[in-house]
Amino acid sequence: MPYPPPENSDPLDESWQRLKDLVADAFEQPPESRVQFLEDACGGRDSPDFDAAYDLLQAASSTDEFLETRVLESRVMATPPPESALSLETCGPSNDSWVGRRIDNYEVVRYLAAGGMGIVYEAVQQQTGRRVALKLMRQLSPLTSIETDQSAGTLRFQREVEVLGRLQHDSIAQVLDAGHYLDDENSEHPYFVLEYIDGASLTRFAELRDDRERLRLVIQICDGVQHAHERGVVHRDLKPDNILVTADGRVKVLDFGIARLVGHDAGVTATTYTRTGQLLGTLAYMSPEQLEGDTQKVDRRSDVYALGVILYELLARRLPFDPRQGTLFETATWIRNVDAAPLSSFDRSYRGDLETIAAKALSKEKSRRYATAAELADDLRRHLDNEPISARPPTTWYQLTKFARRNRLLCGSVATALVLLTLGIVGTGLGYFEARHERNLARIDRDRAVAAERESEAVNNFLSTLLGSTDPQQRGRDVRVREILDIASRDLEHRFAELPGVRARLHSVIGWTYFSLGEYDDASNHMRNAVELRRELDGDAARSTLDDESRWVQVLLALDDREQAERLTASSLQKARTTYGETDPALYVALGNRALWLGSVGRDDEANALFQQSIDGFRNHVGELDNFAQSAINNHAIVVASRGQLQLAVDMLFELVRFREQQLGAEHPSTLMSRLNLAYAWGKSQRIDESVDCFETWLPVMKRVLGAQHPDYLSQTNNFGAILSTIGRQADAVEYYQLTYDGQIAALGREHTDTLITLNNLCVSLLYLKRFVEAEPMARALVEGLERSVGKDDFRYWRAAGTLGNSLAALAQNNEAAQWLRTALDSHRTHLGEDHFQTILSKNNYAQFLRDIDRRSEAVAPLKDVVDRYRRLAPEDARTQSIFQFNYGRLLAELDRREDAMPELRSAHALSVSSWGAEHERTQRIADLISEIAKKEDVD
Amino acid sequence: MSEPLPSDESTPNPDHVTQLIRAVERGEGGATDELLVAVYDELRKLATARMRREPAGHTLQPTALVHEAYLRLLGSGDDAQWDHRGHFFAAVGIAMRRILVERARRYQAAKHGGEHDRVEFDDDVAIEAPADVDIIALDDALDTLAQKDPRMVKIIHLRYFAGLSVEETAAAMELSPRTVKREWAVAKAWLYQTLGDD
Repeated sequence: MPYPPPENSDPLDESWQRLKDLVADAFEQPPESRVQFLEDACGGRDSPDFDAAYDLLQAASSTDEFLETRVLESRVMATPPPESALSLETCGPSNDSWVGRRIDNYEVVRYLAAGGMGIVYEAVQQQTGRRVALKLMRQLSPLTSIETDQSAGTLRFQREVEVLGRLQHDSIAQVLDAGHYLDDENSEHPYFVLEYIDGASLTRFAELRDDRERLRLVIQICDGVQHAHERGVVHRDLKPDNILVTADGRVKVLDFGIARLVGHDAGVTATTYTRTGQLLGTLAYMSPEQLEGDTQKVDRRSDVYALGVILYELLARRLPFDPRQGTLFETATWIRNVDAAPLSSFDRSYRGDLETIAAKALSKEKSRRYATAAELADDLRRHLDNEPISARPPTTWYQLTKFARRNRLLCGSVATALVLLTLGIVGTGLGYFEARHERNLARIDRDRAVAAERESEAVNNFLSTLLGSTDPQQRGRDVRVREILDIASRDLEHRFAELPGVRARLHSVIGWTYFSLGEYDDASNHMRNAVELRRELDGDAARSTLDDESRWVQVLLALDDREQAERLTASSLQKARTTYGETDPALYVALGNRALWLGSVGRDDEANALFQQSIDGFRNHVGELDNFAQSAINNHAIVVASRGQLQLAVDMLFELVRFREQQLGAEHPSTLMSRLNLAYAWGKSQRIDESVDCFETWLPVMKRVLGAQHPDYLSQTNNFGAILSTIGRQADAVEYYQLTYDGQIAALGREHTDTLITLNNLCVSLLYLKRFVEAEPMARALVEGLERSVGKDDFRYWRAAGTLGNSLAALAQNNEAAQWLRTALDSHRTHLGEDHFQTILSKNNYAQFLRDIDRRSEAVAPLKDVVDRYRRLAPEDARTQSIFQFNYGRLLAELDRREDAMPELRSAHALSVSSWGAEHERTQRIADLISEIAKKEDVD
Repeated sequence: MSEPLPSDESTPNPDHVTQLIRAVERGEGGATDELLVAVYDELRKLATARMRREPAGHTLQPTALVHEAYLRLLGSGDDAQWDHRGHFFAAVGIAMRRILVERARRYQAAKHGGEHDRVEFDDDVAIEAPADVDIIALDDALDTLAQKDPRMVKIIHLRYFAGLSVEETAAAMELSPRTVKREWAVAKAWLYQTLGDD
């Protein structure tokens, strides 16, 4: 095989280089001065270089055309134009080779048309003199060529023809007869005899008709197709070329069932279309399943799809996907993956019904199309009669999940499902809620309603385009949702410069999506923009403004910006109350957000009360739990749990999980979140097996859905660590905390309170493991970090102070330890009150410390208080009570108050047995102490 | 974890092609051949299909064809892969040249064989040189030119055989468009001269 030499061989031909440069330089001069230039450059015509350069330059001036017709172009020039798809009425190049000849009983009269599969002649049936259309197929009959048993093949062919013969409908050109003929080379091909139709092609006929008449034509086609379907015949090749309309407006569908009869079921079988432009004409009407080439999948609904294309084409005056606008490959890809432009994008009058009907017929998935041609016809009739149609516009949600399905590969680690969902919620959920509510209250501001509708339409279009544009073939496989959002962020400002409403909506949608991805900074910027635009456009107290403020609050709290959240929640609440009154969802949302903020700063009691109001409001006055109300329940449960009402929290979460599982599915991020919260609440309320089992089952799911770096996932790995710590599996806990901590540093940064809380937990577990030396510097970093990020007036700081104090105490740095433990206790007491669990815990820790440094008598009163208080506040928490009672009992014993000690220790023992079992180390320790005291008493 | 990519049955595995290009870049001799075969097959397939389906009056965009081949062979989007564009188009150029030469040789052979009225070629070879160019002579001339100026040959491959524009050629070779223009002008002149001499 001739082969160019390796291209990296070293060009050392210097004289060639010189010559080349010379000619190239000269050629860059204007033509008239080129020779002069050469002369000057060579130093005169006598120079040895001049001749060679001059010759080459002369050659160059003759090469304008030379090699400019490139290889690939030339072929097209040389190829005769392909035969185009002809309709019956067109008489193309005459093809009269059969004219005047006879095939069986038919005398060929004249050539009518040629198509991909054969040539059609007008013929006369000898006996009857009846005018018929005779269709001579080009290809060999596959029935005779494939079947080894000739007679079986023939039999089958005849049976099929009989079936076709029974198709008798006004809208179907009847098949009268069929057989085989021999061509000039003695090969056998099938032929068909059809009722002769004197008519125009559908396209031509429709040209002069208005839309209502066009719709009636489509209805007629549907009727014919339905008739055939009912008799088990699928057309498989419906297109305007196969449909004629007679002068009096009757539709006749040609070639029913022939595609199958001649073995051309589906798919792009190039052989059938060789040397013709026919494929092009057919491709546009092929359904996605036909393009997949799976004949098993082709059924009546493939015809419904083709009817959809015809409907679309008749209304839009163009094809949904025009093969002429791309390569075959591209067209096939579009048909499979891209939604056709909505009909209303060509003419506003198609908005609503017609657009919806066409979209339904053109659904990529068969199951979403009309099940039958009759249903399509019914909807078209209803539309003509101004009755409501059965088809519903696809929801944004559906479109987005479809995007997810299509782009599953694209989305990589990003939580596709989540993003789409969020888009769905924002795009329709809340907006819908808003609109519906306004209707309920009969307070519709028409202009605003219309404007809102336009906005959401523009937003949806923008997003769909964006999502559509990320089709693998168009943009590469590795498009991630994040990148799509970035593109959207970049585009939207200038693209919608004139449409602030659309901008506001997009900022909101995009911001919320970033939020779902855990990208809080971007989220906050977008939400701020959305809120500011809304305030400007719709006013400070408009529902739309409050909606976006609500979203912004969530983002701000995720970002740890409690100050801004404080202001925002306060003002939203006030605006909602004064503007909409006490029984309006806007108020319940504002209450919920205020409660969320209260919870974030540890004001659990107030948070609890507001959550209750918010949720009650939704239940009593709205009657259903929308997404916001569901979140409110989830967040309420967290506050309830942190107040120690664990059973209540479990009940709330259990109900919520069930609800969300039904509404959203088990793997929806929100469902997962509340399920893992439930696992946490279980763990805290002694239901260890359920808790651990739940974490172990669902954490991996959440990781898959959200990605390992998502803050929500990390918050749950932290929670699992906390449960593991609670049940004494400290080493496992440390592992989870470490994982969480590393992830949070990457996702949220070192100074985010969530990160610092994990650090706190990590320290505590290290203390349990007696890894004091590691814990102490961490605790110090923790306290410093919190002081910077939340200040000293924050409950997390107080808790961290306790952790540092415990670390120092363990390392016998008593003075400093005392100071920190005291700080922890005082702060909790001052801010949260004596009854708060953290206050009780701090008190316990401080008292333990006093005991450790031999100030035992000072520890008695605090520990007694701890035991009494906790028994009263959380009677169900046997585990913690057992610890407190043991601490107290042991102290009393050490102070030789054995009689007082024994009841406490016995109670602690019983609780410990019920919590950990009799064999557990903790239980054993209590038992040992009891028997030791018993021995002493015996001795005494 | 990577899931299998959606692809047509007939499409070579993009990873494989990418690996081939990398091997070519590393100078592994056998890889060049293998890459050529892959590109060659794909181009023939595409060119055949495309040109048959091209409606009357439409001009085929050669670069579109090549890009399509590129997409099918390498997929799109991955930045790392786009870096291989230069090598890919170089392979396209060489492949096209080979296709044409083979076809011309066979045509000659058929003529010399002489006894058949109808000369049947592989039905799927749809690429033909323009009538005004003696492709075999051109092939020989390019071999000669490659001795002293391989870069110029490469430009011819890209411009003429792969159908790239000056700008695209420049991008593929990491040259300035001006350099490509200059080289192309001289190349055409030299070839014109050389072929005219025969």
